Amino acid sequence: MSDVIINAVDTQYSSALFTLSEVCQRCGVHAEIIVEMVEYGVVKPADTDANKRWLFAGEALLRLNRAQRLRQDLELNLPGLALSMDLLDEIDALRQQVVSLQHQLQRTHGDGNEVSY
Amino acid sequence: MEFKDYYGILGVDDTASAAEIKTSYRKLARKYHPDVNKAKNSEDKFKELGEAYEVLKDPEKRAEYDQLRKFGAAGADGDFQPPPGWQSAAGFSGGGYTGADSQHFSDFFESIFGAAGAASRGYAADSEPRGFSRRGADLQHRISLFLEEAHKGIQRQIKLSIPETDEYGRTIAREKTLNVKIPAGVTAGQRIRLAGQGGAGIGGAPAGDLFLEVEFAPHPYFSVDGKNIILTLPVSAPEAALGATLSVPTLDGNVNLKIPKGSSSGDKLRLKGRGLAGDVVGDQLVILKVALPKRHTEAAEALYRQLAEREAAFNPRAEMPQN
Repeated sequence: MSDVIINAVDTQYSSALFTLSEVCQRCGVHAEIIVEMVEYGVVKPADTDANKRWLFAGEALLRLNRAQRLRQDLELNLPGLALSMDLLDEIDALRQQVVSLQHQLQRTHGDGNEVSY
Repeated sequence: MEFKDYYGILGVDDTASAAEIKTSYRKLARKYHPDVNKAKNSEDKFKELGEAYEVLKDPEKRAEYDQLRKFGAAGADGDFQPPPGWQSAAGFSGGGYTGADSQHFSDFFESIFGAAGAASRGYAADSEPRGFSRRGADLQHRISLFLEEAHKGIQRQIKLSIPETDEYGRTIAREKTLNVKIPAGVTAGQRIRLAGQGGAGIGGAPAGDLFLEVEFAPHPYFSVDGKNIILTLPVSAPEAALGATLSVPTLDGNVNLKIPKGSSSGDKLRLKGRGLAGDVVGDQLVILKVALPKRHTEAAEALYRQLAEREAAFNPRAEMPQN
């Protein structure tokens, strides 16, 4: 297949917000599921509009997709899903921390000699 | 075509009960789910599991598979072809999202049970009503940046393959090259959304979005902690003892840093506003590390002996048990 060069220089970045119905459309799920996921803290609306309706950030879409895949593929119920997502977030954060600390450790002690007795 | 060892894939014996197969599938599905497992091949592995389970969970398909495994199987060169006139009675009907997402099944599966995804069989086409339209999938792609690039922003060309549906309803991958401008001050783990650059929509529906997930390539001397940059700075013993003004690297070039008199390894010096750029600007933390030459000259050793006499009162191990 041929390469298509698309100049995305002016493409909008993560600032756009989505209403509940837009999120439903994009993720292909019913509003009730999203409401439940919000209630269980799986996703959080970034803001509300003038009519106090939820607005979601682009990131929430990815998160919802991920949550939805996990829920279906592993047959999770919502509390189980919420727990899994929390733990996965924590693992991500810890992994990043480990990488960062390993780097630092390497810098501080990496070039030292080792002597055995 | 390679003969797929579905029992091996699911890690069970060919005598395993339906319950054992189910348990093993569930356990492996949790382990290799691409949303859980970060390994690059986890997606392939997960699809393979789904395919193996699709066959072995169904007594009819399993029986047919067992039969082929026993009699029809591999030729001398390990190449598998189904026996002439082979036709599956079990057939295949798509179902949920995962297990039965037949588009991802192998040629091996298709040669035995039919290609549910192919238009010639019509499953996929029939299941979609006329005038069907669906927005394209949102896609994710990792982009690895040098710290300097993240700090200053950069225009980068990325190549990726975007799944599309062709006129027969099959999923094909299309290579695409994007020129992307990364704004200054992105951080690791941040996602940049490119509207309309994801998977193509079906039936005139809009395309999905592409999310670029930022990760930082390792730097030769800087580490990162959120928006802060960490630099371990080697200093000589006299520099630490007497203090010094040293030229240290930052993301914006070298700056002069005053090392206070009487510094030790592990002491931290903060350069405000010298971290990663962005709405909130980070700091650069400089951690001192006293470095000594491997060998001293005799004259220097004599001076050290003199120093030891003068500073006999200093016990660096005062907090440890003494004998």
